[in-house]
Amino acid sequence: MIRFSAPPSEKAYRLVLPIVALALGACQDQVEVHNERAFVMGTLVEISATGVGAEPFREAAGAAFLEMRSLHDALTPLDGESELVRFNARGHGRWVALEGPLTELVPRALSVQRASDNAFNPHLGRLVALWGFREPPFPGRPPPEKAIRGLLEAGASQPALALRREGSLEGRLEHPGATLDLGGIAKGFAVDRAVAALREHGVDNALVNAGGDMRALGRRGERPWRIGIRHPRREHHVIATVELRNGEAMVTSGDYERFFRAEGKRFHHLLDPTTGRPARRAQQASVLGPRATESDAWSTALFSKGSQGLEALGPGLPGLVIDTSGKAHASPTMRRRLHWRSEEILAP
Amino acid sequence: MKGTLTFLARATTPADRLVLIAVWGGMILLGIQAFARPPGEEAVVRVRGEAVKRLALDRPRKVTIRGALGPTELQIRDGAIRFRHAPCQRKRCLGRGWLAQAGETAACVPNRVLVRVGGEQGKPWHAVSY
Repeated sequence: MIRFSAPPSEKAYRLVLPIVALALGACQDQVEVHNERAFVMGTLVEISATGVGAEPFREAAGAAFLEMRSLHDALTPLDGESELVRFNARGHGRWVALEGPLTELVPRALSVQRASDNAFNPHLGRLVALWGFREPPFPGRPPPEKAIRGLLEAGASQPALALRREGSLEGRLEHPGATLDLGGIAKGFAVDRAVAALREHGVDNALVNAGGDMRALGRRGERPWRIGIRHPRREHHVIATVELRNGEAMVTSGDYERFFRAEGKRFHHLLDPTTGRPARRAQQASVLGPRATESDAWSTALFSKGSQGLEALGPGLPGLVIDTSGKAHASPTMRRRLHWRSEEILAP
Repeated sequence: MKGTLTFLARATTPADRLVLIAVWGGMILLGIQAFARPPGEEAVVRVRGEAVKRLALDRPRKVTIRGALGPTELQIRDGAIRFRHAPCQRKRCLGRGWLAQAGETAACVPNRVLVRVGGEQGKPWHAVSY
């Protein structure tokens, strides 16, 4: 056993303390980030967090995934038992009580529909099904013109959902061509709910990324969460980065996510409500905002309207559009937030 | 050196020396960890300063890049990239060998071709919106 004649002297502490201070300084940038991933809502969802222990984080992420799964079950148009399908089955021409998450989500969807002048339309269900974009594999050719026209004449793309409160919130589909389809807003809503679940579990610094739709909480160590915006035609390239503030969301809609090629053209899943066909004014649209729900819906609306839609967003929702010729357009508030990287696409 | 050791022996107790060894050992370990480069994920190829290609390092292949003097062949294998053929005289770029870690760079100056390996640590973003 080692026996010491004296405890460490003051000199030794003088030698050691600066070294310890230096080491602590060097460690400042090393952030411990926890990650959990799961397949939810038809996409890979990744939750990253800092400033929390591994075990509490796992528990919080588990709660967030559970919340997202329950939303998927309620909002999927593919399961006959979902609240959404049940409403569509009964809601044509008569008032039906909205159930579960529909009570919160449908009014918010209608609010964006009105504000975007129907560029975001939450009841294109029959058109989306006709085009076959609900689930891969996607069809190799567009549906017959006659079928598209038939649905448009049956009011598929007109504002068609009325709401009233008779004790509970009730909805009514007013045109036979319309059925509720919340594909353009549900993922954002699920991201918001996941963020709420993380907060409830004491996670204050996190990033929820649901297949590119994301929302940040707090910071990643000393720095904000930084998001890259992908190049619309080069999958692994990033055209710009944005630093997300606490609670802020970023959602991008692009014509490269669900599409097929036919007749030398790209047919994608983002339908223009006015034509019932894939929107042709943009390759990609991104929207920043205080909530992923509205950012999701507005990114769909902006994609449909193209650069002309930027004005409708207002200063609270910075937007970026890459038009069909590959040119970037951004609202003034977005321009101030972007750190442009692409050499191929010029900064807006 | 000998003088320093003698000074340390006189000025410190055995406990002091134990503390110093522990702290310096920890510092060295931290230093190794801090400066170890992460593996690269893609290589960016520039010709005359302009990025002409981004090459993922996850599948083996050979890629030809046209530089100022002529074609340069790059080879990708096992998550690394190297200059395989170059039209320059001295062939210094071939001698640079394999690049696999984020931040590693090699250039064929006469042919104006530069290869830089990038990786997760080198990326200035934490997630991509798409």
